[in-house]
Amino acid sequence: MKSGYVELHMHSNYSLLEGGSSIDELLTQAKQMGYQSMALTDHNSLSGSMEFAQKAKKIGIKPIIGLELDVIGDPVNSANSEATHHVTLLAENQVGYSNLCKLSSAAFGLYEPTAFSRENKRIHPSVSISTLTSHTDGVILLTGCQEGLLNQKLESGETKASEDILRYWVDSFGFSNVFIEIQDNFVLGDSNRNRRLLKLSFDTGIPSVATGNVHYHIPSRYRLQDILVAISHKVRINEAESVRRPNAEFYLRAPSEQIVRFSQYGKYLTDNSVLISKRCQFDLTEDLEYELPTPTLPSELSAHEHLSEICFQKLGDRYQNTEFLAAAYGRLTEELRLIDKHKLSGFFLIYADIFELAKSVATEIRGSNNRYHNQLPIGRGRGSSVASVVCYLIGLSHIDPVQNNLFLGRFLNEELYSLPDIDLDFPRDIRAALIERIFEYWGIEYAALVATFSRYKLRSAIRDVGQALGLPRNLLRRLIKQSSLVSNIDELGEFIESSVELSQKDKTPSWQLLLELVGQLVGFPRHMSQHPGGMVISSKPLTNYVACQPTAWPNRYICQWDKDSIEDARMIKIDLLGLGMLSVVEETVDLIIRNKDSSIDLSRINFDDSTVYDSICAGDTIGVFQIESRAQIAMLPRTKPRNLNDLAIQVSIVRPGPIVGGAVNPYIQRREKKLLSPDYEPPYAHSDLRPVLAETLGVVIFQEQVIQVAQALADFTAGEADNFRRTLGRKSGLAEINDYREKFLNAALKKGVTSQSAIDIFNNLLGFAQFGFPKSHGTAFALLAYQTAWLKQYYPAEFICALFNNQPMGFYPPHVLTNDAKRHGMVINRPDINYSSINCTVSSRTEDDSNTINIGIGYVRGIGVTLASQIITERERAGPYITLFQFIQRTALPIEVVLNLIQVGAFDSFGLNRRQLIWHMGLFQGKALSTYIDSNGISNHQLQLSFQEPIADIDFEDFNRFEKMVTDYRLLNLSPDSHPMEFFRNMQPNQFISSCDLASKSSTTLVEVIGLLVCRQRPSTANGVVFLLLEDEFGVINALLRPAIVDKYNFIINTVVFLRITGTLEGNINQARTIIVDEITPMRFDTPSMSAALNLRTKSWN
Amino acid sequence: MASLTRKAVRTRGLSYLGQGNLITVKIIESEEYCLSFFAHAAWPTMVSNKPILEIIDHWHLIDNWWNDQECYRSYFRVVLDSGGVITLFHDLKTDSWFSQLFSRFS
Repeated sequence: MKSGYVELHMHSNYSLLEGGSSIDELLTQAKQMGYQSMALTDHNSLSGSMEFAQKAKKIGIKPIIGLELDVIGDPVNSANSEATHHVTLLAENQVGYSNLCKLSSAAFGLYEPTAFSRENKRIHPSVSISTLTSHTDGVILLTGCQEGLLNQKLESGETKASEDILRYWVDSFGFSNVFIEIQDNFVLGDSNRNRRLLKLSFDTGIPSVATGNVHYHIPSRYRLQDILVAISHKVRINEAESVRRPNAEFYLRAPSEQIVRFSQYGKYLTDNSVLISKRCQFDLTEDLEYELPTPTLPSELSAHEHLSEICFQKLGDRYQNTEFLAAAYGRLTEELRLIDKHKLSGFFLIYADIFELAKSVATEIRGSNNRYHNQLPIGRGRGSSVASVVCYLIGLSHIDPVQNNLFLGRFLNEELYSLPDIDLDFPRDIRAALIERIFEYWGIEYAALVATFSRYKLRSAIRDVGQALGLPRNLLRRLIKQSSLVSNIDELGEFIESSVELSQKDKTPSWQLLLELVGQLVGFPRHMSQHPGGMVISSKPLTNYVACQPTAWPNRYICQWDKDSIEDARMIKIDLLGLGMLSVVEETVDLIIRNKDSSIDLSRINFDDSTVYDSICAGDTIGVFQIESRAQIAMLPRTKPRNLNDLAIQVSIVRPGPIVGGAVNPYIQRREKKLLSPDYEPPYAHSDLRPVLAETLGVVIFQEQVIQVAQALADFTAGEADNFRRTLGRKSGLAEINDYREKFLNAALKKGVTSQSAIDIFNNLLGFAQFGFPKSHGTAFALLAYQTAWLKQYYPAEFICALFNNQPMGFYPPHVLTNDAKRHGMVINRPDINYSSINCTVSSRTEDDSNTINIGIGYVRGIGVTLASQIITERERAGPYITLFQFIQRTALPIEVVLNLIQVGAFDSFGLNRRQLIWHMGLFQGKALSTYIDSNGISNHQLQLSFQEPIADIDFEDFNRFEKMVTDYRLLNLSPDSHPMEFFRNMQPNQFISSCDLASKSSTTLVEVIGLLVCRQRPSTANGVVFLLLEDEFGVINALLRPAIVDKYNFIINTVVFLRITGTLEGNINQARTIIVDEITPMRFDTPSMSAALNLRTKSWN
Repeated sequence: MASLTRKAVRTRGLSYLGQGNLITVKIIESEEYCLSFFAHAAWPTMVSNKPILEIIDHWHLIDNWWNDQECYRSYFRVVLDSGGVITLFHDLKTDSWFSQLFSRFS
């Protein structure tokens, strides 16, 4: 080794809220300094290990996997059993790495016997001495930093004990596997301590090694590290004295520097770091030896034979007597060949096993006699796997890939650089139960959820850093609100400069520091949580490969790697996703069966119903899956999808990939031309692109088109093209992308494509560094989108009712869904104490209300399922409630609950107005309850009246319509009867155009509208443009704010809910109209508190 | 939330942020000793005209970097040729040297 020093003690920001630099920053610095090898030793966690190993190897640095572990116990003094200390551990080989995984798992409570002890460890990870010394094979121990037990003993003058500690480590780990760790970070006491450690080393013969105790990559990062420590201890920086490091010397020093620094103690200290590095030969990127679990097999068949048998049998069932039989047969043969080549038969059979588990879970939850059970699929495939006929035949997908001409290469190809991804969507309740069933079936040591890291964004970074710096809270709140309208720290700095309130501050050190530190912190991991649906399973204990730990959720366990690390490890990640819309669809079908006694098979509806497509093309899609957003509503009247293929494109186009790739406007323009002139041919840069892009009118919209374009134009192989696509999606792939660019451009030029066209096409493909859909995914989602549009068209009450019952979900809050439902002729009944169920229902109280939705009692704020259930159970037991007194007496509910029910009108049928009811309620309030046994032997509660009866009969004027509406919004998040704009419009000094008037105005007309802001959207791909969706009592209004207008009115946009907008109308008559905003001000109210009374919050989407 | 994996670190030595007494120090510059964040090369050889026999400890301190009382000090605990032991620090903000009575924080 050239360098003569290897850093063996280094923390990245995966030492959460402790490490001050990312793995990228550390490695880049290390490479510049000439490091040949280094170790990552985060606190108790191996979360960063795979990322570190992959990235280090790529730049020629040999990675060593390690851990700094919290240990409890003193092996030489049993009276000191609560002593906490650190050790540094390094993996010498695969067994050693596996032991580190088990130690990290133990530290976070994986093996704890009780929920209490698991939760305790999860928050305060540590291992006992006995656990540590039970996992020593293949592990090299360094005695630790200042927190090490050896150093603690020396510090307290216990020389004999320090020798005993060393002897204990040697007895446990082996003489050759123990090194005394020497650190010198210019901290008071370092010199003295090191002298004593070196004497100990000399006296015992145990070698010592120099380490840097690195916590950041460059010296100036000490500030961020201090702030992180303050944040983690929930104190201000000036209160964090006892936990901060005393100086800025914990940075990554160059090997030459370390050699000089430690030469005062002896050259062998740094030489030993090199010797240790040479011993650590475990390569995490290659030596993991992960094995897939074995699927359920008939004893006489191999996995491949069994899979083939199942598929060919199902092929006959699905395709016999269809025009697609031959094509399906060919496709299946090819897929099975590829599956066999890559030894993936067991992989597919495992998924089939999981699907069987899902069926049994669904049967338990839904009941085996449920009439729609056999018609609705339990779950649905999504993503690229939908293109696989094997997945279709074994039931993982519900889309026919042969009939829909779906491209296989994105999912399976000859080279296959990564394992195929199969994502399955389930209704939420089935998914939750299935995850637990998988843990039961395979065992907690063999299955775990995949991790994801919540990372600092501008908003959270400003909050945490600002609080740690002790900045004024009101100004921080202002800045946090503004952060939702900027995309980076520079824009935030510009805002501070331009802000009257803050511009005085921006020159002060604290605010300058805030910007500097926030800029460094954005992107750092804050905490680990569950990936939405990813699980890993294996045939051997997962802790052989990755550390696992319990989650805060009972009976769930998580591995410490995120999906990228899992993919790098070539481990199977099963994605089980809970899709709220599947729950809505199931419930809608159930409601239809109950209310209309009609059974619906959504797989057999008319998928070419022009009535449904008419609604879609009019942008009448609030509540419809995937095409309800503000952007979709604006686009649909222009793109006019008229079949499932069109819908697949529609679903896929409003994604960052096509947007950044510049596909959206060209597609819309070409589509409009095509609709006017069916013979229209879009332009292609080269004739080879026509078969690939004809379907999308010459632009790249689907992920696999990236692959197909790379193959067609640049002669990439299928695997190479897929790797190119994957590289686009990785943040760290810049160097690789440049290599691909060169190859692509050279090949395209040779085919005769012009230089500019080749560059444009490549840049179009680069857009897919952002997220894009494969066509198979778009097709699967398009099918569900159509089905929900069909349900909304023909069974609107059932559909909206199901949407209410599955909140929160979708783009819009319940009050927007309510107003849309009323505009479609539905009636919304408020909760009624004698008629409503727990949840919302569609039920008939009269013959005329087939389109009536009854809001459930459980929908009322403060009630919930448990209390609502109590009300209904008592009602079913002893009949309807007759008076308020009787209700209180029978249910004994808290008075706040009764008040809420009165205020939403649940007792309106009792003949008293709401104020009178509240007065009566007050008469009962706070009185001691006595119980008595009624004639049926049932225990009842009796309330004592404190006032004489005449006072009970005082007359009160009821709440007016406005007051009732305010209460509805507050307690139901919707109003069955009124829209706020009905009241506020009359308070305005001028007449304003309503949403229904806009439709008849011509383009470029100057208009002025007012409305309730229901959605605020600032896509990161929109270059600072903000989109607003307003609602009035008649409909919705789209508005677009250019960046200059956003800057001018940013405070109003972020804080005001009722707006007045002036601008120019865009879009043709009978299409979706958008107002290009010139001015935006708050609406005027009779009293300032009126708008605040509604307590509405606007959803923001970025 | 992140788990608190670290307890309070002992012997921070931050309790002695007193002003100290201004003193005269003779220094040498040495590349060998500028391998730190401070990157300064000042190494004391005499204190108030008394030769320094040995530097028995050397540490750095940074505090209050977030306000206008920021403090950057390079501390030395030295043995004078007279046998006395004193603690002095180089205030990098003012480029002045101070002696300080110091008892170890524990």
